[in-house]
Amino acid sequence: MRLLWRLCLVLLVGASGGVSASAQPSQQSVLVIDQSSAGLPFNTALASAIRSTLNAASKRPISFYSENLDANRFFGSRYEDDYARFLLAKYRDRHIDVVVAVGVSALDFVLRHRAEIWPSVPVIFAAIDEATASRLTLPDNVTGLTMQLTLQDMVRVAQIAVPDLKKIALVGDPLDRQTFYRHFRDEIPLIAAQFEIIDLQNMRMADLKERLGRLPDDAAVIYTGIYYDSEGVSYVPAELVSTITAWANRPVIVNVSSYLNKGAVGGYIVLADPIGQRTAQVAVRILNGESVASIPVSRVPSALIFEWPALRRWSISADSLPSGSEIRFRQIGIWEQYRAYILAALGAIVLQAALIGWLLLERRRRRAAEVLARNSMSELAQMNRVATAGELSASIAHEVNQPLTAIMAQAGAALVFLGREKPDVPEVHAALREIKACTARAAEIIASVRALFKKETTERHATDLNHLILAVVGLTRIEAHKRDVQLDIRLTDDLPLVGCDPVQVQQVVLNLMMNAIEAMQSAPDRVLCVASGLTKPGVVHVSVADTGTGVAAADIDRVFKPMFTTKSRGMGMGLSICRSIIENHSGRIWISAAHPRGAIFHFELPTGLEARA
Amino acid sequence: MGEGPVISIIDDDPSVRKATDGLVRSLGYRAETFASAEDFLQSGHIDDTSCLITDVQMPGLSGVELQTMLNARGTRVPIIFITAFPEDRIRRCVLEAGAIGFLSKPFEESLLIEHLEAALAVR
Repeated sequence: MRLLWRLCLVLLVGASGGVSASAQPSQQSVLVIDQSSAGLPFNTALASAIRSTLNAASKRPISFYSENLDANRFFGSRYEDDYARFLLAKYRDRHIDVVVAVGVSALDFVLRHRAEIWPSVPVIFAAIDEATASRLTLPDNVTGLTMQLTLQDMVRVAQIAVPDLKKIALVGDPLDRQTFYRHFRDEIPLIAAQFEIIDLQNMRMADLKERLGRLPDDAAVIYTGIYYDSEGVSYVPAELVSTITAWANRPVIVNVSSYLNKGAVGGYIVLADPIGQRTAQVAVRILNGESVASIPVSRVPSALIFEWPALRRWSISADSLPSGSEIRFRQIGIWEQYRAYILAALGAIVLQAALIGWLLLERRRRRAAEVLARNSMSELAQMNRVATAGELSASIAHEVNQPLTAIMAQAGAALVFLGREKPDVPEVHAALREIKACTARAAEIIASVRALFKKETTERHATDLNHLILAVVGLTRIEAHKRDVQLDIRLTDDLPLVGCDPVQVQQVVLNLMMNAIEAMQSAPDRVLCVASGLTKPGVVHVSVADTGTGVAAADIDRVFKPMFTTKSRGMGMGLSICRSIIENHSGRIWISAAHPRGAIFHFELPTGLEARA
Repeated sequence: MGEGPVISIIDDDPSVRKATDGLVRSLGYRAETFASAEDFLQSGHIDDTSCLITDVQMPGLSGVELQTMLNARGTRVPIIFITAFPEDRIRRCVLEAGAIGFLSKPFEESLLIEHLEAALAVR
């Protein structure tokens, strides 16, 4: 145990001896003496800028000490002397390489007491306005940095804020009592010559509030700093800015960075950071051995900073600000902040809406076109039927004439039989029965013609295709005969009924038969074969074969297209109408070659009665 | 009624054929009916036919062709044409070839009787 103690002592003695023996201590010390009280935002920011810049720039570790003179609240030579003794005692065993004096009061104090406390230690001053600095006679080993802090600058800003400025309300502690702003008193006479000065210094807070609330329109407020009010209550000046800007009915001009973002207009702003950084840079040069004499006093300019909320509040146009002004604290609305996104989203929405609109329009146009096509198809079908009716009119007339002829003859015969002396009742009876049968036949023909050529029809019902084919055959028989076409009808018995629109399907059969008759115009043997059958359960097949010229292989795919025709007259719509009718019945229609010559048109229809409407 | 003139009737339409037959018989004549000109030609009634009533348009031989054939054979049987297609060209043609009449369907029975009597009188 004793041995251990001894060892420790040896080590301690050896270590301290090492330090004193060294020509250049491995660590250096900087003391910052600030004229203000501890914790003020501006001064805190300044001290921390000095410290961080020092640490970053110095090769050796720096011991950083700070003292606050609190000269705004404590003054008098006795306080100063006591404070100097305190520092002397405090730093008796501490080597200080550089003393930084922040503020003119601090510099005054240091210069007065440096001989007793830190003789021959270089002194750097900071945050002293240019006018004050210019009046100082600096002893050796003292240099520093001035700041731009004038009442005139503030008045200039007040004139921007209030273009017809006539009155200046001065708010703060009395200038004599202040340290930072004391030099403003020298400028007051000049300002007072141009403007009426409303002195709101050193008031009770309640009175200040009342006065600030009823300032005239041609006034602006210049706030320096309130450390304590007339009732002795102590304040942090920067914290009062919000209160004052809230109370004041006119723009408030400030000039220190710690006063920003509290509702004032802004103006020429003394920034803590650049002052701290520049001060530290000078300190580093001195610590590195440069002589103080070689470092002249230099100037840290203020920055023109305006506050966006106040500019808006007082309707101050950004155009009226001096060039180089910075506008801070923009309250960016959702629009400003996300303009690009909003525009992009709106653009996308507009684009999408346009696209949807276009698609809807296209759909409507397509629908309209479809309706038009359907209408024109149905009109064409009607025209086709009317044209066919024209072609068939002779046949129809003949078909009706036949029973009429029979009726007429039978009636004549009956009359004669009746007119005999002994009326031949059985003959009359037979004649009348025949008349009745013929009338029924005529009525049936007329009904089928009407059914074939009536304009509108959408009804579907179970239809016997054989019956339907025979009706058409009846109508075309004469036409076929006239053209020397032999009819060969091969119908399969007991076909299932097909759910279809009989008029339309009849039109298909009629078209195919008339086409076939026409196709055989120049053929030597003319046989028209109409056949029906069952392709498979549920599908009825009808074919119309001719021995005509046939259809060229190249045309096989085109015959059902509209406007295809090989005839000298006609529109070429017949087969296209046939296809649309058959396909509308969920069936199919096609063409094949007949042997040795001619063409066979086929169509198939499902029997399903659930066919689409 | 086995005696008297035979009236031959050719029409492919059964009801017309039957009606014409009834009318002719009501007048007291004997009637023979045929569904086609070919049937008539093969029937053996050509020579005992006092009057031929025939349709114009028929499958196979038409009425006009039948007249041409009969004329070519020298068979001078009076012919009354009945047609649903009364074309002037055909009317002129058949009348020039010696036909008694060319009636449009439907015809007044009195008209047929008139022509029939005229035909039988010629005979």
